[in-house]
Amino acid sequence: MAATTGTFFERKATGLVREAGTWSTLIYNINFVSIGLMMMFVIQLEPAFYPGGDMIGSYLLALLIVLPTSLAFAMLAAAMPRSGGDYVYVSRILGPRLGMTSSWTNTVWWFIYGGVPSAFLARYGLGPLFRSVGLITGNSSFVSIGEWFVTPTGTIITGGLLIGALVLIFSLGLGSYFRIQNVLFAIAMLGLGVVALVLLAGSSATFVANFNHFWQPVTGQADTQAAVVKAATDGGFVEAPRDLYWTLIPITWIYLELVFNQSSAYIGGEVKRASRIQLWSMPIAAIASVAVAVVLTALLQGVLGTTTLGALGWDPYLADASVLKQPYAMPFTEIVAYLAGNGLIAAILGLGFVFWSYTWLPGQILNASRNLLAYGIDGVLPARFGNVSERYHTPVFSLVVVGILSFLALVVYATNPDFTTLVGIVAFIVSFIIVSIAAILFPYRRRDVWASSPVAQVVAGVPIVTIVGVLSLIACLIAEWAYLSDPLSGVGVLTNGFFGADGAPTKDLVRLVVAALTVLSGLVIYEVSRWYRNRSGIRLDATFREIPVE
Amino acid sequence: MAKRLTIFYACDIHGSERVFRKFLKAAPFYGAGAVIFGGDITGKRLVPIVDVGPGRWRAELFDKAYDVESGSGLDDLEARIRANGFYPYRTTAEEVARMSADPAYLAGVFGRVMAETAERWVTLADEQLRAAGVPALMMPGNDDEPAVKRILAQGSWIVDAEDRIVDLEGYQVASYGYSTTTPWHSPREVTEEGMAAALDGLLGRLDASRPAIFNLHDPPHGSGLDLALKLTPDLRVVTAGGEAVREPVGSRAVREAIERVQPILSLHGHIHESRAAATIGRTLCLNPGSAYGEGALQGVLMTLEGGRVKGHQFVSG
Repeated sequence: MAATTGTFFERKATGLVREAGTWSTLIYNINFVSIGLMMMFVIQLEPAFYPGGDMIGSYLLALLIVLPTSLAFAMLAAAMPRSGGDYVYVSRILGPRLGMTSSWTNTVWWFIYGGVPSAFLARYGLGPLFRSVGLITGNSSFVSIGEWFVTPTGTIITGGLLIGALVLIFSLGLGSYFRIQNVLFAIAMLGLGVVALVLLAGSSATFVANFNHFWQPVTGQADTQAAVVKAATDGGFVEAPRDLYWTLIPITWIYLELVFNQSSAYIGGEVKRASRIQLWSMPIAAIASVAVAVVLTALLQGVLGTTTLGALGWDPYLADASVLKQPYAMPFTEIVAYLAGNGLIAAILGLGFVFWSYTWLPGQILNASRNLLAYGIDGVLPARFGNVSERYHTPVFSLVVVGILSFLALVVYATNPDFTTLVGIVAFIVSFIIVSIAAILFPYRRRDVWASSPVAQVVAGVPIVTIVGVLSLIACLIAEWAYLSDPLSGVGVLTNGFFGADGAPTKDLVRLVVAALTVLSGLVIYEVSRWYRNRSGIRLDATFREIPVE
Repeated sequence: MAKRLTIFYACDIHGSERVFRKFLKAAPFYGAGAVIFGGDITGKRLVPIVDVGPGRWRAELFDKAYDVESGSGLDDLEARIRANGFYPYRTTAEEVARMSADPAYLAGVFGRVMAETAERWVTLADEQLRAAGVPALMMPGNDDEPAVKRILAQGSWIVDAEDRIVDLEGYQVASYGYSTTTPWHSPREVTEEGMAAALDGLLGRLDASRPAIFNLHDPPHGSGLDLALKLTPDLRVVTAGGEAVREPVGSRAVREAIERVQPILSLHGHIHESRAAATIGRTLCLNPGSAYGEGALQGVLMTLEGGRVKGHQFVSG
């Protein structure tokens, strides 16, 4: 007969395990946020294209908007600690149609976004690494390699190899991957630490002197920094006094990363007694990520100023007038590398950012393949998707499908500028809205599950999870509004218009419609599958329907 | 046997009264013609509800203290405890102290509570499944104390199917609820050799000319139905990168039996987090997993026709 804590007694029975390491769950969520990419977008874009925007303010506003959704996921994960995230919660609370709609929206965008971080590996990881080390050490071969990486060919080959390697590694099992990932995460965090040290020790004058020295062979100009600022200003770059609207709109670039602090919801069910871990690890991951970003961005802003940062972000969009002649803006780690002026430090910073550049991708491939596995097991997709390899104990078929679709997305992303980075997040938010509604209704539609869960607290007669769900819903609507208003989001119809002067739909509207269709596609797949399965006597609509007890 | 038969299978409900009641309703709800329960009916945890004064009771659930009055408050608390698969136990502070200090006494209390609950459930099952006219095969699992088998055998409608070949609408169902050795040393475990010997004895009684269904609590090794959390010697979950590491823990003897006999269907449980389907040769192997702690009845519906499996569907009721 088993031990006691004084509040309960347990007997010898299988499955009674101790709580898993909590830090690893927190790291998993921080990994998915990618502090590096979040900072890169803000630093590259906000000073350049959002005049009056305050980077620190944007981080904090984004955190405020993300936290309610994070808490909604955390509370649902605590109440229903099953792997599968929203597919499980929404199906059980709102029914399988909305469960599939919500989950499929995530899955399809994990395919499509497979093309984004895989492109970032070359574009913002390896390219800037070789370029900065090459320029600082005077090694032209490194510079040439760096330039090759950022070409469409270099991007597709590099990203394709990354996708292929991850699919292969995941097919063989996860154990070795996570050991490597932990080492890479440590290197990436070390890189951010070095960023802080270099910024604390550096000055604006040092940066300008080093930058001009290293870039002179490329631009042929003695004062490249001033030339970059002048070219940007001539091209339309302006600065403005701090403005709340332009601080709120660029949260789009932060939300893109920060909202995925809830990623452990998809794996939490693997760990018994995961409830408390989920409750704190998701919001803490968001807060910790923002804290790091705020400190480093403040330091960078203090040393370089927003004028230089804005001009550097503007330069790649000047076409022939570009001074640096680079297709993409440099990540902040490359800027800091020039401030350091040391090849070894540049290599450490560049290597660290290589990890941040693609860190979404492993989770996306894993989550998408797990969702396909779940659809296969539940009969929504052909049973082959539900197969687990006997040899490797992994869903090899689903992983290969995700890999192929991610590679196709990579080719499109690398070659077609109409595939904008932010286009899919409007669809993700629809999924978060559905989850928020599930949180609101949870105590009313699944009262017994709620009442016996660790989140059965009430304030003024209203369940806390319902209050959190309402706040999350409001936050999601604000985020959706920001994306529809952001002129750079690719779906900024509220700013760029629905139709052009010629009466034709704007590209923003077309992209928005595509995103909307991806949301509806989940419902279509479910209905087609339901009709098909019904012919074999299988009732998909019964999959998650609760059996009435009374 | 030629006619279509839909069977509902579930297992590992571990003392959750809400889930057990769902199991009893599952056949009419899903339109199944028979139900099979694959073992592990009893709970693992006993929650003392301590008498703290005239009409007042105190307990703790999920680190939250509850202080309730006799009557509906106490009834609600007990229902909440049962819904999670735990046994509520009205007691005194003195008895809690004795249970903490005396393992033998605690074992006696646990055994009594489990037996009382199992007896009540068998009565419920007999009443409801007889009224519905649904054949029901049940057996204990590795986590059920030996007394549970005796209680199941007392059923007047339900059939204790363990270690027997039971006819179900023309299909031979061979059931065995023991598992191979686990780190917890649960009440009904055997070695791989013991499992092989037991299965040899059981399966030797099958009629090779008629289709067979295995109802074996332990899943076949390396089938994907047996991926459990990898544990350290002190029973901590091994994680890597935030993920729990999983490894196959099923029985090699069960796998060998499936490969040798090739039943049309092989039903398993035991590993709650390994909800999956797989084929071994011509045999469809299924583990519906378990989510008893959330009040959900995970199960699988199988449609049989002409001695073959026409289809299956996992459900979460």
